Amino acid sequence: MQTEDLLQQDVFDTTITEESSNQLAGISLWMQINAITAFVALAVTIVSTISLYMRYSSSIFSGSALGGGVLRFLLSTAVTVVMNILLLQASSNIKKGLAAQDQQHFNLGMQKMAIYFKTMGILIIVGLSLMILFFFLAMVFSAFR
Amino acid sequence: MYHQETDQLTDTNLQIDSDTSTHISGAGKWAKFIAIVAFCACGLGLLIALFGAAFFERAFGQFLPAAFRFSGAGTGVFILLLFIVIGVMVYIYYLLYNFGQKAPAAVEQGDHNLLAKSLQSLKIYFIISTVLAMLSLLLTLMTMANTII
Repeated sequence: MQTEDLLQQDVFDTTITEESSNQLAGISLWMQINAITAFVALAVTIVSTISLYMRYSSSIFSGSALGGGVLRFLLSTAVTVVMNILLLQASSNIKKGLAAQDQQHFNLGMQKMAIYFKTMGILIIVGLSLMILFFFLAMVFSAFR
Repeated sequence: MYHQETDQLTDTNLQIDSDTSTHISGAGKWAKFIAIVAFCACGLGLLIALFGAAFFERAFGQFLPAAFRFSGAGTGVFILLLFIVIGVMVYIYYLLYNFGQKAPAAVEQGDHNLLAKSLQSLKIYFIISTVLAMLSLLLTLMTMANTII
C-alpha cells in the first residue's frame, strides 16, 4: 500500500502543470514566429545578395573573392535553414503535444529543441576554434614575413 | 491498479518521463554553455568599448556621421549606445542562462515551480530575440527600399 502511494506520488510529481504548459505554449508560439522571421530575413538576404551581384558582378566579385563569397553565403544559408527547420519542428511538435495531450509529439518537440541548442553550441565551438586557428595562422605568417 | 491510473494520467496529462527529462537537461546544458560564451563576448565588447576607442574610430569611424565620431562630441553617445546594446545582450543571455541553470535542476528535483520559472525565462528569451530579429529585418527592408528609391 505504501509502495503504491509512493509510485502514485512519483507519477503526480512528474506531471506537467498548467503553468508550465502555458509557458511551453508561449515558447512554441515565439519559436515559430522566430523561425518564420528568420526565413523571411534569409529570403531578403538572398534577394539583396543576388541584386548586388548583378549590379557589381564585373568589379568587386571576381575570381577567388567570388568563390569565397559564394561558399560563405551558401554555408551561412544552409546553417540558417537547418537551425530554423529545427526550431519549426520543435515548435509544431510541442504545440501538437500540448493540444492533443500527446506524449510522443511532446517528447519529439523537446528533443528537437535540445538538438537546436546543441547544434547552436557546436556551431559556436567550431566558430571559436576557427577564429583561434586564423588568429594563430595570422601571427605565424606575420612573424615569418 | 497503479498501471490503470498511470494510463489514465498519460491519456489526459503530459508527463516529464525519462526521455523528456533527458531532453530538457540536454537543452539546459547547451543553453548554459551558449549563454556563458555570450557573456564572455559581451565582456570582451565592454573592454573594447572602454579601452579601445581608437580601434573603433578606425574600424567604424567612416560609417558614422561627423558628430558621432570619437574626435567629435559624439564619443559619449557612441559609447552609451554600445553599453545599451551590450546591456540588452547580457539580459537576453541571462535569461538563457537562467533556463540552463534552473531547468535541469527542476527536472532532477521534480520541482514544478522551478520548471515553470525556467520555462518562463526561455519564453522571454525567445520573445526578445524575435522582436530584435523583426526590428533588424525591418531596418534591412527600409535600407533596401531607400537604395531602390
